[in-house]
Amino acid sequence: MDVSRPDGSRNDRHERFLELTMPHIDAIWNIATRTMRDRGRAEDLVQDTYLRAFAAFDGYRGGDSRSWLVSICLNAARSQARAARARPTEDLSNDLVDYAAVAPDASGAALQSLDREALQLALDQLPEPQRICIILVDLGGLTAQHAADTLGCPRGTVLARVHRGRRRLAALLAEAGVRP
Amino acid sequence: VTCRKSESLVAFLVGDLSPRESDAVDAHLLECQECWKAVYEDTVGRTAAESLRDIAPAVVRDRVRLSISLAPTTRPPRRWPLRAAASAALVVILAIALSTGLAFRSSHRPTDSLALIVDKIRAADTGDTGDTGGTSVEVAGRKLRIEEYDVDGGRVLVAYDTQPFPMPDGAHVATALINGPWSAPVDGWYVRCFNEPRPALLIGDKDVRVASVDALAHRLSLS
Repeated sequence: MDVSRPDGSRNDRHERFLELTMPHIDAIWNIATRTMRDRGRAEDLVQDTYLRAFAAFDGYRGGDSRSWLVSICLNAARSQARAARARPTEDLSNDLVDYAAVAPDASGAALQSLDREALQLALDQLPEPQRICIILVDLGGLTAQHAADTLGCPRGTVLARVHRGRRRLAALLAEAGVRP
Repeated sequence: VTCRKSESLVAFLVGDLSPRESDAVDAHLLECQECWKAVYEDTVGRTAAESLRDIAPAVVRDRVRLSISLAPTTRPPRRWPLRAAASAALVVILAIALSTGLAFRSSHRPTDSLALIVDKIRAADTGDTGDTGGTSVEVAGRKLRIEEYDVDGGRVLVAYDTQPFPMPDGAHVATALINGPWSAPVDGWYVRCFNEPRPALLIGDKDVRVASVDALAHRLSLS
């Protein structure tokens, strides 16, 4: 799609912004869909993220542009869905998965056919800190350091949350009968 | 997880360990079911999470591009003051440099050169008065023709040139014309300059109030 202005003149600022940010739209889309859960609201969140980023483009001082966009996306998501989400706070047991019956070698191929709905449900059940770290790292493609910078916490904290979240996710999937 | 080695599992999974440390964890995993399970769960959870990755639909991409292309361009809130300050500083510097240069040119060099011209004209041996056709003198590469007259009992020297004479700083400009006549005292002499119909300098020991060289000639013809 052309980014020409309504009067036909091209705007360098618009083009520079799109050139910088459009490569990350998949990451933003993934974060938006896993954050908002509803497709329509996710589309709104992506658009809102880009408009907010464009409005703040003059203040962008370089650095990792994906992290910058993700931060804006999270802030937009919080402002749109604050208090709309209730997270389970109980610590789920790690004993839910029958690991003896599972062969590690088969996990990759088998997970290709995972029920995405069940997977999304399992992801939604993770505690918020773990869920957001998994969304940023595994779905958004941020490095642990960039995720830490975005969330304002140490890198080690992000790594620990991701690790615990992945293990809980695996446990929840096993509990739901989605087995690798 | 109760195994003490499990503390290094996260670092092991993200590749933060040295090769030696990583080999040690590898060896440990072969004999520790608890740590092996932790690594396996991490792998399963990561694969599951990554399987949720999607590509943004074309409709979303188009919607974003369209909304951005229609978004108004906002001006940088903080860069403009910096640019304005830089521009103002540049203007001030240029103004200072320009005024310094102009002052130097108008108050020093022209005055100096005009004083030199006046000195040379005064020292010229003009012989008799203007009726003789005057004499020539060369000053700073300029070849001047000089005539001397007796006006109201005073001595008046008239120097002609093909190029304008430099106007000293503080000269009184008679008109708003760029090449209009001006007058100024130079070393105790009264100096009047006319650029029309040709550049001429009147130097007298008293002020001869005439509007032009022709007016001076007319005045002399009547006397």
